[in-house]
Amino acid sequence: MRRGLGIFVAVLVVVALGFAGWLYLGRNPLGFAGGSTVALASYQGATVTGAPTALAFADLVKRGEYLTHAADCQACHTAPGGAPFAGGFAFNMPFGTIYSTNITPDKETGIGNYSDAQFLAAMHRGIRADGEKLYPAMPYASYSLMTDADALAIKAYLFTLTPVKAPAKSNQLSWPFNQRGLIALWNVAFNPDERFRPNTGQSPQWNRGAYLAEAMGHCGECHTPRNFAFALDNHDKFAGALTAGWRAYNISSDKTSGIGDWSDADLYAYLATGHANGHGGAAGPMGEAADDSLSYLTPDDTHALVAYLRSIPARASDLPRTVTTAAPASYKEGATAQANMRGEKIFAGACASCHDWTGVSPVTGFATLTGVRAVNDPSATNVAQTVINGVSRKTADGKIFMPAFGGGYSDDDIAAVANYVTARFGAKGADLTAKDVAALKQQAAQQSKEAPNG
Amino acid sequence: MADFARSDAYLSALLQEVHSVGAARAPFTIGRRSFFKLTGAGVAGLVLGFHLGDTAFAAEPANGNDAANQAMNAFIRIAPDNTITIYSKCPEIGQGIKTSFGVIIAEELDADWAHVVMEQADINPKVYGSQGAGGSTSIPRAWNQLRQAGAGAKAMLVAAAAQAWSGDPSQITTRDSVLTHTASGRSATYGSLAAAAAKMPVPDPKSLKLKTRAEYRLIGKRYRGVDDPKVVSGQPLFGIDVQRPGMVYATYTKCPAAGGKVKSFNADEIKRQPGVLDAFAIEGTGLVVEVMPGVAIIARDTWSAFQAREKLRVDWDLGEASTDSTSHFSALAKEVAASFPQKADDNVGDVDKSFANAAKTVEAYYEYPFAAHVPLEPMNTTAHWHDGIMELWVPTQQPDRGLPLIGKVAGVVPEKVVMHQTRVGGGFGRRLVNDYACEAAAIALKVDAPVKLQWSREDDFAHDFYRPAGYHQFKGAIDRGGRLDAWQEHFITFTADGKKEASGANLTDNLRYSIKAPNLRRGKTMFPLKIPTGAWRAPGDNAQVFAAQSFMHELSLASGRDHVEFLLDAVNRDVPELAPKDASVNFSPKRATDVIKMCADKAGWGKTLPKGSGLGLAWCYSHAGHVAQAVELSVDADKSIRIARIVVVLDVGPIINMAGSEAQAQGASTDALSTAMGLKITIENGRIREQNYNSYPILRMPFAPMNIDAYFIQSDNPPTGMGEPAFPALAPALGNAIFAATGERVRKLPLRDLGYSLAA
Amino acid sequence: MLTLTVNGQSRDVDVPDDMPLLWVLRDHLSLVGTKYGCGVAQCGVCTVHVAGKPVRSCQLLVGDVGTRPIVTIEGIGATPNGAKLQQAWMEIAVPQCGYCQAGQIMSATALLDANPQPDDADIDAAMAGNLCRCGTYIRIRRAIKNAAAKSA
Ligand code: FES
Ligand code: FES
Repeated sequence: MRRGLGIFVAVLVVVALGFAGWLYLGRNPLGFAGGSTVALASYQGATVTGAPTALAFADLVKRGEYLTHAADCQACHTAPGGAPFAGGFAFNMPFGTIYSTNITPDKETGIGNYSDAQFLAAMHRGIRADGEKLYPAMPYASYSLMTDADALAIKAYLFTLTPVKAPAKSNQLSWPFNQRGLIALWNVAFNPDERFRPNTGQSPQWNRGAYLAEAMGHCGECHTPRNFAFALDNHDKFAGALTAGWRAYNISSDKTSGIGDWSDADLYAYLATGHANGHGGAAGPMGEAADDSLSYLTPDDTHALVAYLRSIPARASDLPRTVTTAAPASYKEGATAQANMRGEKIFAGACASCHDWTGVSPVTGFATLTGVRAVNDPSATNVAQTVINGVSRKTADGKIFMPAFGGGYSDDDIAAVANYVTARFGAKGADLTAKDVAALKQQAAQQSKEAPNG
Repeated sequence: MADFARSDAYLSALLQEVHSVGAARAPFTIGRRSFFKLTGAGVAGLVLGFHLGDTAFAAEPANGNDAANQAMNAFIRIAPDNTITIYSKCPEIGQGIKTSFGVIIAEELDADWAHVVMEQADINPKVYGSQGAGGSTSIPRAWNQLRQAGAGAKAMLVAAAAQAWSGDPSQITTRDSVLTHTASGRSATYGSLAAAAAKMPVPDPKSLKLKTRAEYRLIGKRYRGVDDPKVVSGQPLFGIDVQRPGMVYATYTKCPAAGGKVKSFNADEIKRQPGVLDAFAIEGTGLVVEVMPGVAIIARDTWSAFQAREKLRVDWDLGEASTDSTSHFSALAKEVAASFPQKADDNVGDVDKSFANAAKTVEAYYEYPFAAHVPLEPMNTTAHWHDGIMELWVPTQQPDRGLPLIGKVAGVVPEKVVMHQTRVGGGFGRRLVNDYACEAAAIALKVDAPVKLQWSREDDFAHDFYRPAGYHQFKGAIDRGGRLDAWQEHFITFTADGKKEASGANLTDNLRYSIKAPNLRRGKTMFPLKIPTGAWRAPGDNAQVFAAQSFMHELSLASGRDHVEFLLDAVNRDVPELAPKDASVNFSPKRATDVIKMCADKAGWGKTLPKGSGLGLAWCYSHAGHVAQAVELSVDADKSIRIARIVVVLDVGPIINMAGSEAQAQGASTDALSTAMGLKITIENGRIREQNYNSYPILRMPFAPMNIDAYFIQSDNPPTGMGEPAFPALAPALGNAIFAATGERVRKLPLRDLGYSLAA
Repeated sequence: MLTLTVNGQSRDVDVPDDMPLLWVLRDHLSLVGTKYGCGVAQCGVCTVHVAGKPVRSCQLLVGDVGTRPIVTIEGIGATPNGAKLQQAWMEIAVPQCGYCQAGQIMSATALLDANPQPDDADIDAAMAGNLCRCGTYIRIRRAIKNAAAKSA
């Protein structure tokens, strides 16, 4: 009996240690690359941190501005319709709502009084100036890879902004998530607080890409699934996850469900403009990442990102292979009308004039549905979100606009049309209900703003 | 003037006019007097029209700035080739007036309709009298005037023929623009005698014998719209189509929260945008019906102006801006509903006693949302400030009311304002207000060229004069005989000035004649509101009839009697206190009874329907029309509604154009269905959330009924307009049918919010 | 400078590439029959034919038109189905305010060009994108059927 218990405890300890080890391995976003790493100071290759060479002679603020874009601070620190960087953007989490804070240099309500050390503590360790711990909705576990110099360049830029008086909104979190003390434990487990270490077995371009993706752009925060403790699980690095009601797709090298069979040119185009012909365009949070961050990167940096993404091991997720052939020209053929008459009629009225019954837009490549991953996602999460929130983006290639239907159409209608679109243009029709749509509306951060003009 | 310009005045004036319809004396006096005063006596337009029958005929109608030209702007001109040109004085907004007015004149004139050409008259109230289109009053107000114009012209033609043939006028007959001397068999076209006719004395209108209904040859037939050939081929007709040499284009940006003022804007950056010619702030008059503060951007084309506007950053002074919110109003209304106001507006009989003795009492709370008009042609006006004259091309419903306001904004006397009427791409009450025309005038003052102000659709959603929301707490009593005995209504509505109801937010008098409870008490609570409101197709009635006639159905169910029987009983109740005090009101229990009975009959009232199906009926007296509507439908488990049939029966007096009247009955019913199902405006912190049709789902063809059966009871009563009466009773008929099908009562609009949808 | 083929004529326009065709037609070519109603592809009043297909001109950038021929409401009467539909529209007096009707006729013509004998479901699928604020749907349906019957 006692023996049995002893074995049980031993097994438990081994399992627990194994689990801890597994978690530990999972927390390193760069672990997959193997090989050896060195401290930045001892790295022999070309510089992989900081602003790109084009800005090498620019002043600190200019470099800081570039890095602020690269780290995509603006998207999360700006409420819809609010002043940039003044915070107030709501993150609707399963356990409550967290608001981003004001990072303009206002002394009272912003970060105007932050010393360099205080700023670094926030960026690397998630500690506010008053010593209080930030929620990891602020991606400091990623930013901890950022060099001090880069973080302080960002600070220098932020301090040139016009101070905006915008007091923090109070978070609405349920117990125990409202206990900031618990974050200390989380930090011990999931934030190693180490700066980026170049990998000597990889090219300088790869290392630059890795720095941009991990320390700056924090791609994994959306694209990597999370473990039970809400920390990134890099065993499934970039294999896709549901974040804020939107699906961040698998961007590992898997050919079926990832980006393994995208060409370099397509990947480059997508990163540079948020749109690639034949693959569709970014909407929702990725649209914001494209507009506020990725589109500002220099071509070299974007190429570095492509090189880095190419190296992510393939991880299959449950997405079917994308259908790349157009649907029939007549509404009568293809996905049958009988199955979802409501969806078809709504599509006919509100959608067909731009997207066409074939899915290939007669108007603009931006509106082509054929080959778009969201349409091939049988959960229809992003299709529904796009219908609800619309798209309003400006890219180098032009304006991408789709009106938001969430305010005028019922949840039933939105479910019906999302089901119809995925059935007609994708691999498999979705099965959303009005309840699902209501839940998606809840999860999405905030309604995006519509264009002010026709 | 400032007082008159308050938006409220528009509605009250409009409603007064509606109630005047049908009176033997009051209604036309003002228009007619000014018309006659100008010309001395008789039917001036004709005489002068005849003068133009010769060489001057080719001249375009002039602008109305001197006596001679005013004369040219009257109703009829007859050319030597026998073409008859008739000027339609009122705006064509889709109600078909340009066709009907022609038919009315042509009828009395005995004109050959095939050779009648209809033209839009310019704005000159001194010549034409009232020139508005609203409240379905164009036809009733013009009815006698137009008939006299036609009959007077005919009398002069007959006199000329009698003189030419030295015959007796009584022996001369007229038909299809030809005069015939019965005895001699001589005949002549109108065109050939027009010049001679013009020299005949103008007959006294009282001496003219107008046709009886039995004598009509043109009135009541089916006509296509006189502009249809141009409409279907895309010829310029609408305000938005106006083009002038050297024209430039403008947008005007106002504060998204009503009442905000411009502190500053990024003028330099805007002026640098491609295609932009100028940008400036306008202070405005501060009245929503005129010019509110904003920023004008002038560009070489519409798109450049729209594009530049996306870069516009205005620093608004929100000190006096609206912070209204619809969710706040709804919550508040529910809270105050139960406490009836201290002071009742109407108090008939003894309501408390009735409740105490009642066999049954019923209580219910109804609500409906704000709504926008959003006609398909966005607001626009082309204005040209030249030679001390403000010349405008305006798609408006109320040009005559706009004219003095434009003069005020432009700083000129009304005589220096020249207004051209264009066809109007939908009114629905939105264009009773001329704010966009006033804005165009204010902009034109600062631009050295004709300028077209073009609102975006988003502007239109953000700066409408909304149909106000409303909340009604009802309590009714049924006596032991199963009759309606008491009606108590607490109406929760809005006020702009803290004194009277905001425009469109007053309980309509029409309901007074519909709800004949011997014990009746009504009172109201008003919430202050900064968002402008206004008349919206069948103002007041469009929503209040939903609440009242749905509740009537609830009462009929409580009485255990048949709904139709209950209604007829109520309509024919003699409650002297509730009889119209104004003799001009043409409400008639008999006409109401007839439409209700016929509607029930046509809809197959009383037939057995399968489970899940239901038939609902409601009626209203609205805009001088007596109307009943019935809806047959089925509702499935997921609240999807399949409409089997819609019947609408109207008594609006004689029908002028049967095709047009049917179209109005069907269109208004469709609009009512669309509005009841899905439309609402949400206000948050003084801003309108809905920005375009994507969030304001107007009914589309796949969800529209396959047919709507319209029937008319034609009577000798004076005609009323058809733009509005067929709207109000549809929503309660729909709600009553849903109840019949499902047992679930609809007490809130739109139905979308209750999970209902129309079946695909 | 771009060259467009509109209603069979070659027209030069000096406008930026990213101007929607709608505004080029209306403000630069004086073809005002094509209307502006929403600017976001939700109302259909701006419908024109581009290479025979109905397209919302408020969404189509003029730079993307290329050499494809454009037909507007001003030119649709020169096509057999366009003429037939215009006739049918007048015969049963479809227009109320008339503002949506140019777009309706353009969509209906494209429908008959592709499908000479449409049934109700076909009509719904082709016409659902064209709003009519006045509610003329019942007559639009009938006019399309009448026109189709004439070609039978
Ligand atoms: S203006 Fe193009 S669809 Fe409405
Ligand atoms: S006829 Fe007025 S919008 Fe269709």
